[in-house]
Amino acid sequence: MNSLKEFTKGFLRENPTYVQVLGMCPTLAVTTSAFNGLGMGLAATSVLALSNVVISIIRKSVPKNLRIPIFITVIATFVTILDLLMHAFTYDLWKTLGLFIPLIVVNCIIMGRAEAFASKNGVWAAFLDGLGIGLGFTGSLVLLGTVRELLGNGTVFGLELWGKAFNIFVMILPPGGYMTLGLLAALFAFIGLKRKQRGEQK
Amino acid sequence: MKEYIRNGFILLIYCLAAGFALGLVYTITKERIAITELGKKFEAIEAVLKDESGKYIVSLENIRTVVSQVKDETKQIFEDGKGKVYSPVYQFNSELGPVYVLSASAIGYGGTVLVVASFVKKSDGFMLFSIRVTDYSQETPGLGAKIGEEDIQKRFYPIEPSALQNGIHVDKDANVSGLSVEEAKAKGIAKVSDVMTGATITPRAVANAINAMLSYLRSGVK
Repeated sequence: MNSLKEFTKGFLRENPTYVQVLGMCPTLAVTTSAFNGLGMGLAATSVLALSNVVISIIRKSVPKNLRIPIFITVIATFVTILDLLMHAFTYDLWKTLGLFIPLIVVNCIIMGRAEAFASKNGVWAAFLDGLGIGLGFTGSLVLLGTVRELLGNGTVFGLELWGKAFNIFVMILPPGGYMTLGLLAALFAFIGLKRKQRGEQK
Repeated sequence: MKEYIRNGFILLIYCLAAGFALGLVYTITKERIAITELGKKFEAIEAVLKDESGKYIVSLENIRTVVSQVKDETKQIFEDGKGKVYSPVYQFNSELGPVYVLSASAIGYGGTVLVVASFVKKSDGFMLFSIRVTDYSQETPGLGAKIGEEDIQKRFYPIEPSALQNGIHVDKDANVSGLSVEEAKAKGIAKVSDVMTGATITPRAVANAINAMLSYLRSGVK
């Protein structure tokens, strides 16, 4: 039960994008399409889960005042490995995500989970936490990307749903990203409030 | 003092481990990356030798032989201040006349943008036959990176030699508006502002790369 909770908390209750408002830079930049959001999310998830595991393993041998540089080293290593692997095996996705893959190093979700969770918990819990938060991040990006792609381009994952005449071009541009993000964050806040109210009534 | 040395030593050990892991992955992926890059290069060369109806102006067989004969070594061979041209330069014979395929880079928004282009040599100069933007990985996804779309790249070609006297420009730099895509091409202008709103620097880099190749061809190839 406990580990299930560890895993699912990132989906809604502690959703990194809409509730914790972390990692905004890649969130706004790559979500011009659902597919880009999915790629970015999965890339960040794999780094998050693996770096959480390693940081949890080494947590007892890391001196307190050295933990930030060491965590960054671990995260940067995984990101570089991911960058090389994506370059070799998923060339087109690597091309589109480009700049944002190296930037996963400074993604505050990953650093935040390393500091707040992995450095204080066991390996299994840290893995589940990383995977859960990562999938929550992926879900958020896909949701944001889907809304923007649909409204801005009339497609979802490249499948055309309606004609070009209905497209609102601004949705693909940064202002569209902010608008969608704001509305979705409001929706998540609303859901959170409703859940809380229901909990109080019980 | 002792504390500092101890910390430095611990950090060194972690960095060594990280370096070792990276070295391992690098060795494993190196060959695969080289193969992928080469495959993409072939694809780009083949793509710029296709006309609008999708017909190759040089037979595939001919492309393969020429490409395999030329030593594949990427070196900078020309620079004009805005763009850099790289070797190898491939030369093919076609019904339209001699065709040159070469690559050049220019600075985009986040880094270099690499363009492969084909030029047909005609009596009054070089005609820009086709281009492919092969590396735009440092451009912003959704904005500059849209240059990867073929429909947008088509805005840059074909352009006749007479329109290329002063090189190619993007419409924003040429200070014209209201032209259709084809009208713009007739004046050596790539109309992109309607399809790449908010991203001027990336298409400008493509134009700079094309201009560098033009200057190189005009100066070097007889």
